[in-house]
Amino acid sequence: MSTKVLVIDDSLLVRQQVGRTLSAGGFTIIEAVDGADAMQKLTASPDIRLIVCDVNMPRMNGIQFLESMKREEKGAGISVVMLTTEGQTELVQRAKSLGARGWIVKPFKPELLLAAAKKLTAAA
Amino acid sequence: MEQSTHAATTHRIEVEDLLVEATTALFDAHGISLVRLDPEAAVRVQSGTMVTSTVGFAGDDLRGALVISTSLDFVRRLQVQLGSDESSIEAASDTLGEFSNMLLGRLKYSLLLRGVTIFVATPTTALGEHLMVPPLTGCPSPWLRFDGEMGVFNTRLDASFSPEFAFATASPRDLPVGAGEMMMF
Repeated sequence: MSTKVLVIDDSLLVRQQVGRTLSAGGFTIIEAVDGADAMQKLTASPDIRLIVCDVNMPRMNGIQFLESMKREEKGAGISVVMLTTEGQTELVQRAKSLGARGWIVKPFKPELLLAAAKKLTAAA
Repeated sequence: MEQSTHAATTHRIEVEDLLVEATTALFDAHGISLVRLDPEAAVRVQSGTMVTSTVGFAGDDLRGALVISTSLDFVRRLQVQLGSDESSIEAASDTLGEFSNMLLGRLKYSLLLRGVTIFVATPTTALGEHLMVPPLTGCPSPWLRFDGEMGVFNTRLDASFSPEFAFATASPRDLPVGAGEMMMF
């Protein structure tokens, strides 16, 4: 069975681009439109192994999502890569301290994202 | 309180230059060549449905909004270029909204390198015919116009500068991650 990836972004365009890239690498894609939606998807699919997460989103942003995952202890066995337009050091460090494994600034290079996804899920 | 007219004008021109660089670099990263039009040059008439996206931002000494605007035809071509087969109005709005987000992200990066931090909101998009987006009162923001094979693309920065606004050199330990870069922990 292929590895499940949760793609969290309020932009349909980005969800499609990430989904296309990772599907081509054999991953199964689940989409969420913000952090709150993602928390529900995580509960519904506990076998998700990788999360690709935006930062600036309505309702619950990416950093709040990481905090929520940590608080509710839902991060076991899941790697998180942030995919965002933000590159600010404080945000990167905050995400890292909350358990994120990577940070990519948009627009992303498909081959790099796929390589990161394979590496993180192979190590999990 | 706004800066003195001369200082504010100087800063505004510098930030607009950064926006011009960011705009051409963003499209270039997607394989699309855009050239800035001379402000005095005649502009191709844009008729039909227009799409505009606005993202607010705020920092200690600089705040305002980025506005981008183009034709629905331009956005449709952009979607094709990005491999999207969605033809809905929502998808077109989403695409331009994401571009405003990425554009402001690039401008934010350039400002961070100059010691200026801003925080960015989420974009809002509008679509229709005869769309007008008047600049903020007292904010002399010109439209920056670009042209390319996809058509005309417009950006504008409605920014207000506090008297304390100044560029500085970012500390090496605060250097941000740039567009297209990846960092693994």
